[in-house]
Amino acid sequence: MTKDQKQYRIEFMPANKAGHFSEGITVRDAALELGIIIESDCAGIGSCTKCKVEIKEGANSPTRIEEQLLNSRELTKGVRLACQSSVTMDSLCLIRSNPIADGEKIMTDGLQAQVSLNPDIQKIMLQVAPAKLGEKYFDFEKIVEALKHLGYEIAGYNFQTLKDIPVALRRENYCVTAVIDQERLLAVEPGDTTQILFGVVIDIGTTTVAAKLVNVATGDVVAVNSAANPQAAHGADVVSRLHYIIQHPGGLKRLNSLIIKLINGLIINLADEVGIETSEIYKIVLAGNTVMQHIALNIDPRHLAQKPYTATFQGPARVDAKSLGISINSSGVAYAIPNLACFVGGDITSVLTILDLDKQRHYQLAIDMGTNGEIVLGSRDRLLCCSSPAGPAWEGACITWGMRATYGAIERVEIKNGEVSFRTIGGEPPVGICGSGLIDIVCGFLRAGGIDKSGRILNLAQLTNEYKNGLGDLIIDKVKEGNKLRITGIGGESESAITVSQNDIREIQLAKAAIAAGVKLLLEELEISPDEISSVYLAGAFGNHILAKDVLELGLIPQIAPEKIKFIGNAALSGAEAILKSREARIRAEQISQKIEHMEMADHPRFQDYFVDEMHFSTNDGK
Amino acid sequence: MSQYDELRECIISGKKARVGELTQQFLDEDKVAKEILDEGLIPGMAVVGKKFQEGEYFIPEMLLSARALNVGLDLLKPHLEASDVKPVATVVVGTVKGDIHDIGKNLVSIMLRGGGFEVIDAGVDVSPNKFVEMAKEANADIIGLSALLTTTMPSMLDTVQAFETDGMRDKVKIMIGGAPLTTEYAEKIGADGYAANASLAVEMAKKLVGV
Repeated sequence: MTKDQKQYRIEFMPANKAGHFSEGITVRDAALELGIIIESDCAGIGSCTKCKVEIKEGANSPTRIEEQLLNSRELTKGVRLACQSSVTMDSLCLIRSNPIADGEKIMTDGLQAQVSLNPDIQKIMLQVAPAKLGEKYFDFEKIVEALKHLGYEIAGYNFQTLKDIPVALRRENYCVTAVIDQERLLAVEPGDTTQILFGVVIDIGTTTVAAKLVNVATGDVVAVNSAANPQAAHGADVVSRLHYIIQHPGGLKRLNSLIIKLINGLIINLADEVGIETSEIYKIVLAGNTVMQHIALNIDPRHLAQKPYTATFQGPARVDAKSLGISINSSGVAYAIPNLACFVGGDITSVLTILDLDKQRHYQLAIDMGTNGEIVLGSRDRLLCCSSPAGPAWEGACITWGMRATYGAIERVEIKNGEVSFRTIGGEPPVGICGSGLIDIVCGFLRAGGIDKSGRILNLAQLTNEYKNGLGDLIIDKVKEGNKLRITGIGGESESAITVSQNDIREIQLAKAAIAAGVKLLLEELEISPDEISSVYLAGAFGNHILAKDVLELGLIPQIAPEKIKFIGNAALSGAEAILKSREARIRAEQISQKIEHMEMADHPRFQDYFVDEMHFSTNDGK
Repeated sequence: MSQYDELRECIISGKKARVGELTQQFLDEDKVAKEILDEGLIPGMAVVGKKFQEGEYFIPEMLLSARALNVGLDLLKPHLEASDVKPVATVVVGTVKGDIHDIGKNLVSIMLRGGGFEVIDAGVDVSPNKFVEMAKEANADIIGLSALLTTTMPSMLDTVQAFETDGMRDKVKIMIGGAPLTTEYAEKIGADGYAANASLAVEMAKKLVGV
């Protein structure tokens, strides 16, 4: 910021925050400086229009992009795109109601891992014999010896621990509690504190971040929380984030600091909820796709952007939480679950940890339906993984009325005899549609005949008589309404009626085709038929359920018996919990990461063909 | 009712075999190749483009029509060449360096072909110099650059610059397309035009060569 640059005050409502900024900064960047996230899907290049704001005072004349993408009424009202509009005078900016509320507690449920409590992170109470005059005695070595006597080898320690030991040892009359993690002495606390030991697990999704606070002494989950990944302001998918890092000097630091701030915020919320101090948390386990893990550890992921798509590290990475800026106990440790391959990250490793794909003779399929889709197929003999760029549609991004699975999201829609009924998360008034709701709508209309197999929304005139009467109210003449399905009863007749557009359905088709093509190629590589798959596990943060018949109707996976399909929720988080609580689970995760083979989809000669082939919906079911 | 109605419909619905039969039949009846092209294949593909733009058709439908079109074009090609019928213009189309996505690029190729252009497909992951080379070789009027990834957009600028360095920039028009792009980006890198979809790419290409 140079001195001669003019400074202007910009105020954001309803956040009620204001600050002074140099002339020319975009509204979005100014908001971000104040900690206000204005979400967008396009990395700020001005194509998605999700960052619309209303400049009540001090609106600039619209840019050409804004003139193209906003209608004249919006433009006169002062509606602008936050990523395009820059500050050239004192302004008041109204941020349109953001469906992403604070303090969400959604999407943290998942298949529970059955692990016995035997964590790497441990507290051991020691009663050390006091020093006698003339004895060869060193405080630290005495503690190491006492630990060894109890069967705990120490291979390393934090330097700070040495400084703390003399005081800790003498405060409670040579009774101390040693905190160790994987043969490393993290800290020595005075007295017996073995009953107080907490850990946090975090799943850093491209779109959604979810966290759990675990009482490691008892094994109980004591609090859960989730939030939007604030990096979304710089692009909806991992590739746009990489682009941001490559294009902006300091971009990595920026994205890193956004996620670290969020993680610290989540940790404080979790600790406050149960009334503990963050210093009582000694370990944090991180699950996330490869790009998210690199950014969280502030390691440059840019070489993942272009062929041959190289990641800097596989992991596991075990580092001081303090060095990452994560606010748990200052001697605490962070463990990043090992990645599998370039875009196949620790999140799916985590999922695999609580499943048994690597143990069974039969073939099993696991799919993490994230923005960066990850697929694993195999048996104890051979495990194959791949990533597939499904995009953020499952989590509601890039969809007109899409939103993440949180309060007010339509998560369930039923279309029966021409009647539409729906349910929102938390029973709140509907504000948008999350992934599971979108899947219901698409499948409901497919079955009812409102959408054909190619994904096209049909005109009333094109409907078969069977459906005409029932659906008459539901399908608005395309010509009149511009290719939209309007769900009666949701938002009513008004302009703000919640609708699903033709384009939204196309986004779902692309997302599902990416997954389906990946599955098809893995099946081919293993030379097996779909019938040979004994179980299909679907994980994701797109809603609290997904019906097997819908999965088949979509054509997300090949036609197999519906009872083989199991929805396991946010399993990455459950897996991270298992890894925190169990040394065996952690070792298993590391072994799986070594054992699994990777198949690159991007360069596969048949991927694009299969991708196109799989864009159609399957109508084998329910007809 | 035109005698080419059925051929047109078969292009629209993507009936590959039938397009082949009909085209051959017209040729056997000594119909002029240019007429079959202008009244059967091209108008059929124009409808396909319109349906795609309006959301009625999606990528699979479009590719089906494309396959049908290619069958017809292959049959007509020797006749068109023999009667010295010139294409509207010659376009070299490719996906830029670092990017291996070819669906968008293929759709553009096919719509351009369907619009009467001679299209040379440079493939994917095409280096700036390769574009220049191919443009020279084909004596191209237009270069079409495609990118799906935000990370490979900078390759477009490199390609435009390669044409400048080589002194070829004035000889060709450069148009760009792909999900992350905008008209502003085209201007920023010094390209001549941007098209939001395959259908609009034909209009842009026509505009660039002034037809």
